[in-house]
Amino acid sequence: MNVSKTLSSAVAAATIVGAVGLAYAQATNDTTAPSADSSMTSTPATTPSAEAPSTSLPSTTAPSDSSSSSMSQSPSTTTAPSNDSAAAPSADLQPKPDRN
Amino acid sequence: MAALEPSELRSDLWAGLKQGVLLAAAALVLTLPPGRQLLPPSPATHSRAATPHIFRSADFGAKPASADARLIADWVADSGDSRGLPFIILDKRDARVFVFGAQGRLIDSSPVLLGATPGDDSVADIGTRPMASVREDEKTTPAGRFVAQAGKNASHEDVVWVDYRNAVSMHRVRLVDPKERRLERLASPDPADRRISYGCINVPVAFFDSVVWPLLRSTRAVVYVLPEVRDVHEVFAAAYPVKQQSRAEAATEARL
Repeated sequence: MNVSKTLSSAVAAATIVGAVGLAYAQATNDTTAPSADSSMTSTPATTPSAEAPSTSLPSTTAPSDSSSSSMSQSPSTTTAPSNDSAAAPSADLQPKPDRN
Repeated sequence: MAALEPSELRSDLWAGLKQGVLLAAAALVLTLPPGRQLLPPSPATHSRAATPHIFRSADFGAKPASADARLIADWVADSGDSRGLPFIILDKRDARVFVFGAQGRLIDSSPVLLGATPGDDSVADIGTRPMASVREDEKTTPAGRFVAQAGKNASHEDVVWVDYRNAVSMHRVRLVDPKERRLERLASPDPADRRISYGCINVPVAFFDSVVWPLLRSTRAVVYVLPEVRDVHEVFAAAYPVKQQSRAEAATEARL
């Protein structure tokens, strides 16, 4: 076997293997990327905070809804919907009178 | 070594290329996995492979509780609505409070004193008005979901603020006016007797000191105050019966 035949054989083999290997590597990345993204988006749902209820739990805004309707005794003087400040008090609540 | 003729050189190169292609093909066949494994899993395959949801119920132990209290506690335990915090169910119709750990296990329950007037809302500005100006029909304990935290009231007593804006707290029973007979009312088996406060939640001193305060002085808790006038599903719209949900999903999975 002469040198030119050996060289051309090696170059052809290396080129094909390299090209297919590169394509394989890209295909592998493409298939793993979506699962990585989906796990990232699902992470907050598994570790939510109490102050930031997820949108999949509309009842977490229930205080708003509940307070938005009127009292039967005095419909015109009820509070505005109980907002997030009521549901999520600040870190330092100042002492104040309570309703005994 | 004699120089090759151009035709010989082309012939050698062509033969070498063919040999190289064959070698590369053989190498790839031996090293690469089957083509099917390169394809991403179909959504159906992916969802089938997902871990099935395991339904969880709140653990009331042997304590009796109303259907609404169990409904909301089970839903909180199953949905994780308390976000990993302890939670408290206040059943106004039964004038009773249930304190749960973060895992949905009941720590203890107790009768409580509540606002004298049935109602699920607070009157506007009641949180800033003096007590003397609060009318009888305004003495309500509001229903809903509240993130509660420990604090102090104006007398620097330990309280758990449930609805800070509307000045609703949970605290040790206060004997402000002997005519109210708060201790006697707290001991009464009739929930109607336990309606005497201006809206705050009065709990027995021993219960506050042994259950409420140890749990809440260092962390927040989510308090679910069940309505007494409106329907529980109106106030907690996302709440679902865990056991029925569990059965429905089990039937769905069985059909698949």
